[in-house]
Amino acid sequence: MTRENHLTNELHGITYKMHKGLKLEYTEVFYLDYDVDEYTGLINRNKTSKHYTKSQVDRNIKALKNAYHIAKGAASPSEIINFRDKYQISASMLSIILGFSKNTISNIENEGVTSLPSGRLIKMCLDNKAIIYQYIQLCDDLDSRKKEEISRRLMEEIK
Amino acid sequence: MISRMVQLPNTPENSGLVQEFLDETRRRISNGIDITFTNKANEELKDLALDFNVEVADIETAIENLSTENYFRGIDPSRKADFEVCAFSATVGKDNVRIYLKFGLEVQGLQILLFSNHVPDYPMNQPFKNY
Repeated sequence: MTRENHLTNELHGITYKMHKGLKLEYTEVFYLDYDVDEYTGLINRNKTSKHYTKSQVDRNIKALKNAYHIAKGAASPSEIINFRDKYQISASMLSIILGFSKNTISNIENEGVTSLPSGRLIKMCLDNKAIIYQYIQLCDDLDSRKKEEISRRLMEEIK
Repeated sequence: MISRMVQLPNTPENSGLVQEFLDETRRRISNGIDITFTNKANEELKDLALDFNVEVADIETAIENLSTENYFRGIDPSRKADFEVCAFSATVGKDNVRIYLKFGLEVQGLQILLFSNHVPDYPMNQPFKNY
C-alpha cells in the first residue's frame, strides 16, 4: 500500500553495487511512492521514487550479501542446484555428504549463502568432483548401495 | 546539507518536543508499524551491512533505544510539513557503530520514513547531551 492507501505492486529490478573493487549484481525488490523531501518534510506529489518496506530491505540485504559471497568465491544457489540435478543428488544428501546439517544446502538454495567459508567449501567441492567422491566414501550416513550409485554417476564424468 | 535542518537549543520545552517525537515513534512501532526506507537510506544500509554486518533489525532497535540525548537536528516547531523530520546520533549493531540516523513521522498518517543511516562524515554535536 502506498502512503495514500492505494494498492501498489512489488517491483523487481537488477541493481549493481561496487564494494571494495567488486561489482555486485543482484535483483532488488521495491515499490513506488511519492517522494518526500528529507529537509522540509514535504511530499512531492509530482514525483515518485523507490521506497522499501522493512521486509523488502531484509530480502534485498540477503541478496546483496549472497552476491558479495559469490563474488568472493562462494558457490551460488544456481550452481548448487545444477550440480545436484546433474548428478541426481538430493539437497539433504549433499548436505550430509559435505558434513552440514540436513537442511543447510536447501536453506542456501532458497536464501543464498550466509557464510563465506561454507560457500567457498561448497564451491571447491562442486569444482573438484574428486573431493566429493572422497567425501561420499567417508560418509557414515550413506549405505553402500547409495554410495556406489552416486559415485558411479560422478566417476562417469571424471573419466 | 545538514545546515538546512534547524538545531533546537537545549531548553526544557525543546527537550519535550524531541521526547514527544520519540514517544510517538515507539508507539507506532509497538502498534506494528514497520519502518519504510527511502532509496537513499536503502543504499546507505548496503554499506553498513557489508562493512559492519548491520541488519534492518539493528536499525529498528537503534531507533527504539533513542533518547533526547541522541538528538542532533530537526523538528520544525511550526509543524507545517507532511512529515516531522529529526536527525540523531546513534550506535548500531554488534560493533556499536556510530551512525547519523534521520527519519520522519508522517503527520496525517502513520508512516515512519527512514531518510538516512550512515557513518557520519564529521563530528556530531548533541545539544541535549551532558558531556
